[in-house]
Amino acid sequence: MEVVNLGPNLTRDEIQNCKEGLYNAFAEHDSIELDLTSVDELDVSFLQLLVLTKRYADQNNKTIKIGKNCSINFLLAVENSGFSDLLTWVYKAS
Amino acid sequence: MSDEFDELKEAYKVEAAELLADFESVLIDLEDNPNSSDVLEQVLRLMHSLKGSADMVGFSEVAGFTHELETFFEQIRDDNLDISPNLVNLILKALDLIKMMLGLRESEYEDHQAAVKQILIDVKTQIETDSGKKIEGHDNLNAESPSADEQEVAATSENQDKSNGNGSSDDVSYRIIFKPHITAFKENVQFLDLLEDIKRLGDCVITAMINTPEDLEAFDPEDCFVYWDIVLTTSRQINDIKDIFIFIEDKSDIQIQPIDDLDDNYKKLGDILVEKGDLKEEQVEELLSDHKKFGEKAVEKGLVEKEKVESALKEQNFVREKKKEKTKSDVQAVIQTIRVESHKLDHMVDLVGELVTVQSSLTQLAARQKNMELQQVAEQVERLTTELRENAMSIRMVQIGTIFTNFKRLVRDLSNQLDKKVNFQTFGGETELDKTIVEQIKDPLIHIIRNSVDHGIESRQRRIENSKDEEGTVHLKAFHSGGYVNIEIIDDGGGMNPEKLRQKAIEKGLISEQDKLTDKQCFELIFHSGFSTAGQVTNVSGRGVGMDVVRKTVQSLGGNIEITSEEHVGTTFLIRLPLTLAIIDGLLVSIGKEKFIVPLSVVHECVEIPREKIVKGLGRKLTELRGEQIPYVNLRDEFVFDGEGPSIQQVVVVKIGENRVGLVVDNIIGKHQTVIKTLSGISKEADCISGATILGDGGVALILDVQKLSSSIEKRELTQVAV
Repeated sequence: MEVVNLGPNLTRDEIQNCKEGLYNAFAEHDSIELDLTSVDELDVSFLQLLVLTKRYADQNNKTIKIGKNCSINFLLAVENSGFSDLLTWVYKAS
Repeated sequence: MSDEFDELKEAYKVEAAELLADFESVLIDLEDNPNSSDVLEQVLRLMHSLKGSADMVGFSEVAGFTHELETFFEQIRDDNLDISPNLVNLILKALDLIKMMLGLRESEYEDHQAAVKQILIDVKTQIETDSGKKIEGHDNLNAESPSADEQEVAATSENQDKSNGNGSSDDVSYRIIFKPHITAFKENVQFLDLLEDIKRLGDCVITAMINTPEDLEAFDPEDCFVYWDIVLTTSRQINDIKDIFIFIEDKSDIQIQPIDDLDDNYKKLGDILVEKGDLKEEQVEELLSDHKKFGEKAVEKGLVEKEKVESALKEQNFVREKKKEKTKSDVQAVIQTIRVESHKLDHMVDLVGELVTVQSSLTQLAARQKNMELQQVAEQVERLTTELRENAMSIRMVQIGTIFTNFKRLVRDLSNQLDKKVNFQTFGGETELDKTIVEQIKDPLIHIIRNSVDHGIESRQRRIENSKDEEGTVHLKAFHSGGYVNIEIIDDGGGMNPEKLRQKAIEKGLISEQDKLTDKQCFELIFHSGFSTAGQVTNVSGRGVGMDVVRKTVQSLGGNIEITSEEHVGTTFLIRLPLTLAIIDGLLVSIGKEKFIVPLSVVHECVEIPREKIVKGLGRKLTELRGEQIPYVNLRDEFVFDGEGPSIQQVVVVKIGENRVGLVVDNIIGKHQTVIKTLSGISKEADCISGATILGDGGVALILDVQKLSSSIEKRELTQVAV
């Protein structure tokens, strides 16, 4: 399983790079694990990307999961923006 | 209309009268502090309460009217507009109109519609004039008045106040469907901050949903596919919710709908999905014919995405939960305070009075029988009775501040009418008095305050000429002093000249030229019927009626009134009132075979003094107590009892204000719970007796009015000296 770390800044400014990082990883691996331990800043565009990447993975028989110990900023953003249901798999992982 | 509904209406009228009185007071505060957001919030809360309850009991005209006023005040708050004295005048007029409407029959409302509309137009115009801004909305003021139904709907749909959704009865739940345009990310909308702002308005459940782009591989991650279903329970205005979206309304589709309804069970899942546009009604019908869970069936059939069903389920659970909280809080609110008709309270106190008398009999019986067990029971009954009595009496106690609020309006209107500037301050509004006394003292206080503003406070010009501040002051203070409550009305006006009062009394034939009066006695002349020093009779005061009634009322309440005044400095009226008129603690004493009660609240100490220690000075009987001479009254002489008292005299030393007086009696029996019975007929005329009580053995004891007793004897003795 490929571990992907997209860095501390997961906002719209970096969203294209984030998508590229995830989809490139899928191009080479069927399973990826996202390391979100060092996330410092994020916005809804990243949460959206996460949901759509999961849908893409499901469609293409690939798997994505979140590594343990993801940053508190990330968990708070999920909770506060109403993404908990869309990202239940994130909670299962952490 | 049912009796029950009529009762509700009557209860509302009582509540509304209190709210309107508070409203007037707060409004006047607002005039003094136009920039105080706290006071403005208070105004809005009061209006909201007035409106909410009116709507519930069917005063829809009042609810509609108040709703319009509330909206004006919201605009004032939201746009930081000024509140001018003219606007306050108009709102006060509006409150008067509401008072009138509450007393009308429904069929009579029509006559007042024009007045309601006119006031609203005036208020709108005034706000526009004060602010130089056009006030939006209130379109109904340009057309015909809104129908009662329209007003009712308006009042209900915005039935909220400023507290956040915490299950209070003012909470409303809203469904917010927030669909940002696809470009929203690129326009740097800060969704996390925005959602945080919504959460601050109350309790909410936020569900994000994402439309799947056609191509999950090639989509642009900077395009926004997210949208939110939000259910918010809040007591804030719908405009407060809209405000949060103000900078994004052109970049998104926003629907905000109130979803509260009065049923205990919130809507069914199918209804929610239809309302949100996720399912059609016929699809719901079809699904209902199957026996599986509705949501599961809808997803299985591919009619709606699972996440949408989950969102609707969340809404259903959330609102049902809120309903439960609301019901709980409503019940709690009911338990915290209950409104009881005052005659029921009076009846309870009467019964407690009877119980006190019976308990007294029991105690005496137990003492006579010398039965230890019976004595123990009697003591227990006495303890419980005392506690019950204190509780019953405390229920009757109300804060005197409840009537103070009326006076602010009075002073404001009067000073405007007389073109005077008056700073009216009240202190000690929390001081408690028996409700009967509070009710009856209101009119005398109105009269004195009117006099203070009309005759006491000088015109602006005169004050400036006398090197005084242009603005006069009238202070109304209440405070406890011993077993009494003192109420002072103090003005810094022109004061009274005792000589002028004396001359006026001579002119009116109330006294003769030869009568020598102290300053205090000169001031008391104003309590004579028909006495007035006002140069000009106004519609405010100066008709020479009133001050005599003021004194009579105060005295009938077992109190007294004193005046101190200094010319050019001001006048103080001091009213001293007993705490209660029902049951008091008394000291039972006897003279010969007769028994008397001295109110325990004025008893300072009890001492024994041999007869030889009694001296006479300045015409008064004096006795020495620990090196200090105090005046005394021998009640045996005063009430003309035959025979001589014991050689060692029992003296009950009472304290009246700062003065001490000794009351000489034969025997001091002890503490007695005294149920006050009023006297009638000839006994009523006895100046020094304020009532009677029934003793445990069925006998009667007279209750001494110590204050009157002392002052009448003082007057008599001083007159004897003068002669």
